[in-house]
Amino acid sequence: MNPDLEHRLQAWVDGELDASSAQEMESLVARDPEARALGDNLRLLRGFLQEHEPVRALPETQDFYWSGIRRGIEAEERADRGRESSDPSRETGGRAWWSWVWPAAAAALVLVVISLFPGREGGTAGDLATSSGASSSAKAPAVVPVVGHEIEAPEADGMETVTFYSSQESMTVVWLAHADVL
Amino acid sequence: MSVPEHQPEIPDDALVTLAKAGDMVAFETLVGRHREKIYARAYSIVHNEQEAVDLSQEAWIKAWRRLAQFEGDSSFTTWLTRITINLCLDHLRRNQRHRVEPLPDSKDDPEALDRILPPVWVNPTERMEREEVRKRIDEAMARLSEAHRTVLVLHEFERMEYKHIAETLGISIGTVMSRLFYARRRMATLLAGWKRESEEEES
Amino acid sequence: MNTRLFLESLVGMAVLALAARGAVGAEPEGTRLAAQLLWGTNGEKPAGKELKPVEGELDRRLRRVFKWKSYFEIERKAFATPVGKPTKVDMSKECRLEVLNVSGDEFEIQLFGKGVLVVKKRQRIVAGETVVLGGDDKNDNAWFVVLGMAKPGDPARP
Repeated sequence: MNPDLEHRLQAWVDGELDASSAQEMESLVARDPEARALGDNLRLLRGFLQEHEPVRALPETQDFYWSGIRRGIEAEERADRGRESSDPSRETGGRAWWSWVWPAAAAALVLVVISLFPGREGGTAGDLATSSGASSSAKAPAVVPVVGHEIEAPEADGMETVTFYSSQESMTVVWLAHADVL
Repeated sequence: MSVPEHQPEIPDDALVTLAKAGDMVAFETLVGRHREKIYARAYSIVHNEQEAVDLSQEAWIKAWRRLAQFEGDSSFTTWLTRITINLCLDHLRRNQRHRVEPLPDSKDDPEALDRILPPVWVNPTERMEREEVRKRIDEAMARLSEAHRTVLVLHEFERMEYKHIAETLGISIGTVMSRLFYARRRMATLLAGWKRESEEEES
Repeated sequence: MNTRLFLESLVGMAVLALAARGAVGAEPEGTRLAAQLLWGTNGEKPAGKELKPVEGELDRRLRRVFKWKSYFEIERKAFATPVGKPTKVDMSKECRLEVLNVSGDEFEIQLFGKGVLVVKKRQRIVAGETVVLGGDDKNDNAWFVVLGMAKPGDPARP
């Protein structure tokens, strides 16, 4: 069987052929045992792989993972603000006051929703702050622990830090990227 | 602040709406809910733990910034998965010189490849635990070139059609077909070899 | 309030203040902290090194927060932190801590690597709370400096 035929047979198995080409393949499979075996094998393998897609667990905790995302978002937003302030053609008067209303309303709504689930007093997902300042979520009094949280982080120049608090483990973590300590 | 990670009362759509309005907590909840899936998809393509973490995080960052463009034509996770795949593909292209193994497409070099699938490809994992099977498949996929693995992932796991794969990867449909065929044949060979090995060990 | 009463009050407050100083003076060393230098890995314990595996509650807490499966203790030191006086603690040849007790449970922590200041933080430390400074090491391993209140049995090794 030549490669073109193999590929067309595969396309037939995958439902990628139009009606007339599919008809041709059906005829081929009916008269050619090798083609039929190949078609069966391709179908079997496809089903087998789809049924057993490898599952890979994220090797980081939610705290760490989210802190990286949050840091990236904040860095991009800082870069945006820098670009805006250096571009005189852009509107300089700031956004209209009402542009803040929706985020505030949304945050208030979420707070209300959260208050409906009092069973969890502060898991690990959001007790975060980065070195660029405490996150808005970290200021929520209902979940930020009274003790042990960051007070000030004047880290050395050029050192990237991520700070977060795990209330489950009563642990404040300061992660230092690129630090040469050992 | 923590929002419970699996909050059945707040569907993704509602969280997306909140996040679009700037609500970072809602977005964090989405991350908590779907981070494993997004990471797993990145890993399936780049097959490197740290790169997959970085790329999946980058996908979330990009998603936050592009939320306004998400119109709900597909599910949020489908949309986000597409972003992740594109970032992974860009990453592979940037690192192409170092990363792509010189495995030819079957059309280009038919003599270099075993030409047929194992004649009767019997499921080699009949008596295996599901997790063990997945592990073996993961190991076999790690032995594919990035180009072949990507096509296989997009077709078998993302269930993309040939045309969509071709558009996503910027290759012809013919190349999609030949890469997919090669990848399947290689997987079948690797998995069949594994069955032989385990039988020999048993005997 | 007449002048005499006012003076008596001042004297009374002065006596109380002196008494308070005396009480502080009874504990001149201040809060005792313990610092551990740890190494986290997903691999094997490095051969030829005297490293003690971290066990028990700290091991469980670290594994719940970080991705590494095994933690080894390189050094552990307990030290007193007199208020207002910085305490230098050498955790290894290259790694040094300087801890200043600012106000009883609030500390200024400075970490130096190879003589260079790596991070400076102000942090409250109370019983049950732990501060972990950490970073990546070679080959996907990591280092950690864990700070918390010293236990009664911790030897004083500044």
